Amino acid sequence: MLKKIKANYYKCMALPAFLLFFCFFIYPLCLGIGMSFTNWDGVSAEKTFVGLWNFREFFRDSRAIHTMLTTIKYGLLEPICINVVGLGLALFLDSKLKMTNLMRTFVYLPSVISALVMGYVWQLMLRPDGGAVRQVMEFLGFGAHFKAWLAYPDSALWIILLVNVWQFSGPAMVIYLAGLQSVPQELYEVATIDGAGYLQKLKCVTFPMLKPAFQINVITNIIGALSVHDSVVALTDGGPGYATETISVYIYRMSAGARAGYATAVAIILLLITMLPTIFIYRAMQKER
Amino acid sequence: MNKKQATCMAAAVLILTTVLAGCKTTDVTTDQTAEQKDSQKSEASKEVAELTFYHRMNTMTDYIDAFVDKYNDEHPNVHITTDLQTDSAVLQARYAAGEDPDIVLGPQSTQYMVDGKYLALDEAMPELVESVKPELVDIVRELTTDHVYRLPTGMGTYGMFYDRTIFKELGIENPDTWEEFLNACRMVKEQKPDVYPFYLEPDNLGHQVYYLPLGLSMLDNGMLPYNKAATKNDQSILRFMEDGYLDLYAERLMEMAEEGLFDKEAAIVGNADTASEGFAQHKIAMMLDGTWWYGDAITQYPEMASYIGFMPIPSIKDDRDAYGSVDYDSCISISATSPYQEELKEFLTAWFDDAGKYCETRKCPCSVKGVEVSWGDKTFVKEVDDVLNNYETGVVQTESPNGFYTAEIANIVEEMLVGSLAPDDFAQTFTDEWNAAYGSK
Repeated sequence: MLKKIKANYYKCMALPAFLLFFCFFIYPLCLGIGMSFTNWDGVSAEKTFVGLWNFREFFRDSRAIHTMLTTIKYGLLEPICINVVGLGLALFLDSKLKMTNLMRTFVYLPSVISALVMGYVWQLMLRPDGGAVRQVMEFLGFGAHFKAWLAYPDSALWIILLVNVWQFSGPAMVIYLAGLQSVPQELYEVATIDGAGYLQKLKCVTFPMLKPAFQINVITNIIGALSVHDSVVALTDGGPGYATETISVYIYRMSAGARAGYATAVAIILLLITMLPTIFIYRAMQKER
Repeated sequence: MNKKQATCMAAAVLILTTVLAGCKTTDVTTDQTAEQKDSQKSEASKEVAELTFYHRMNTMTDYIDAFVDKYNDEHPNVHITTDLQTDSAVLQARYAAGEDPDIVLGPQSTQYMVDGKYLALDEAMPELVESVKPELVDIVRELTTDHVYRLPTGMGTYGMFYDRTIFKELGIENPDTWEEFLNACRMVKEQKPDVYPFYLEPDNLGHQVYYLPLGLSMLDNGMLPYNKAATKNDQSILRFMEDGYLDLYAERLMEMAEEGLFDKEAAIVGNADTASEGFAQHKIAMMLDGTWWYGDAITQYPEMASYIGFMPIPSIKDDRDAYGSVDYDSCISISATSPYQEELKEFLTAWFDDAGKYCETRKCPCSVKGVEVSWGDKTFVKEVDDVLNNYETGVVQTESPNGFYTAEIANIVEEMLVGSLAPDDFAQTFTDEWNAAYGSK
């Protein structure tokens, strides 16, 4: 008996982590799934079971559909941009240039600041009256090309993308750098002996060896991009109109607008939207391995 | 059944139970509430009353903190902690978490009142309610229960602010009609191209819909019947689609936008600070807002007090004169569920005893009968009085469905300004969103 307990003792070590996971993830998730079938307003003690009404309402609301499309568009663009920029920076800073450590620090630094604070800083810089961007452009002689990009539906989302890519390329770069530094040098030496050039080495040695780093970056960036909230709130608050309203901003507004049951249903939809590409990429990469 | 299957089954049962708990229909019985209250009361009588004072008046923080500190010093049986939160969603989160604040200084949504979060002051403290100007008590009365759950500390007036220096320089007479207002804007645009003839910012986009189109409808119907209809969403009186005011507003606004009489970019990305800064630098000629803006602005730029003027709201309807709007400022409520009822009533009495000083700091007229306050520049105050005494003045404070905040309305107006929504569809979209907010319950 004692032997059996000892043999299974290690399982108890996972108990604190499991309890935390259960209390702060599984339990709220299950409660949320239940809540999504009610019309709870988030304040009163009353709530009534409404079945799938909230889910049906989401797909019938043109604003909600627009919000979903904006989120998907952003969710596609941001991971691509962050990974391209992050990988480019990693390749550049993995070389034997001077002051690479300092440059890595500068690239990584924006990511340690809250996205909300960063968003407000950029919003101030992009202000049409006295914003730093306008002043710099005027100083450089490009003042005529300045416009309040955040006030236009066709440019506001791109600005949000730009700010996020600038802020979060650093962490992607660090993961790629770690991946690059773990590539055995012998592989490059063999490739050199075989007459491979820089691009061939990249294609045949570096990229295949970076697949684990790529997987981590793509999955975390997809999750981050589909739930983008802070920078949107700070930069445009979903505007102009609903042009940059993402699902998480929509959820927040619905929840603050006394539609907690509906907001929870939308959150469940967002969870499914996030899970689909994540599972797809994860499985595709597992197969390749 | 093996061990693995049993574990899976147990987990599934647990998850299902939690999901069912989440969607369970609930209704709190009065018996339970009374029982809880009794036990809380007996506990409360033994200890120092720990009270929370939730407010969103960031410009009044110094006054409120000083008042609360003094109150705490003079009342050893009470300890009040202030909680400044500028986002109204935080209050909702507090209630959802069961952390009801004991004292709330705005915003008290109708839903919180109906849900019994606040004490009915007309029943519990009738003398205090009597001491407040009756027209303001009428505005804050909750219409479905016919009780007063909040009392305003100050009062405000909504109207057109203007730069007297610019008006004098260009020889512009105060406009009384929409046409005269447009002509004034055109004159500023022509003669002072670096000045915004009319300034709009995102917060105002939402408020303007209340004060311009809905305001006219309310003046037509009277405040009480209109607001009663609003609480029931009675479209036979509200007539959003039929009276044509929303359509007319959309048309007027887009006409101004096309003529460049206000800056569309600023209407979307500007803010209240930009407005204050603009007036301080004589870069704004006119702006619609309430006297609560004036208080904040001249605190920031005291020199502005000498040249900021006030005039009535020009009616968007051609054959109608300009009008003014009376409003409340800084409404305060006390919790109905707190075990410290006597302490809260005592605090509220002390708060209103000091209302004059509050209004002097806030720079607004006082809501308490007979309390005269020196709240602004003499000429400005005279102009405000002129609007209230010589123009059609109503209480243009529309009841709206819970969650249909001015920010939501501003989004609809923004959609129109950026061309994503046709002006002809504005009234329909507004009505749909309004109905959706009511339909959620």
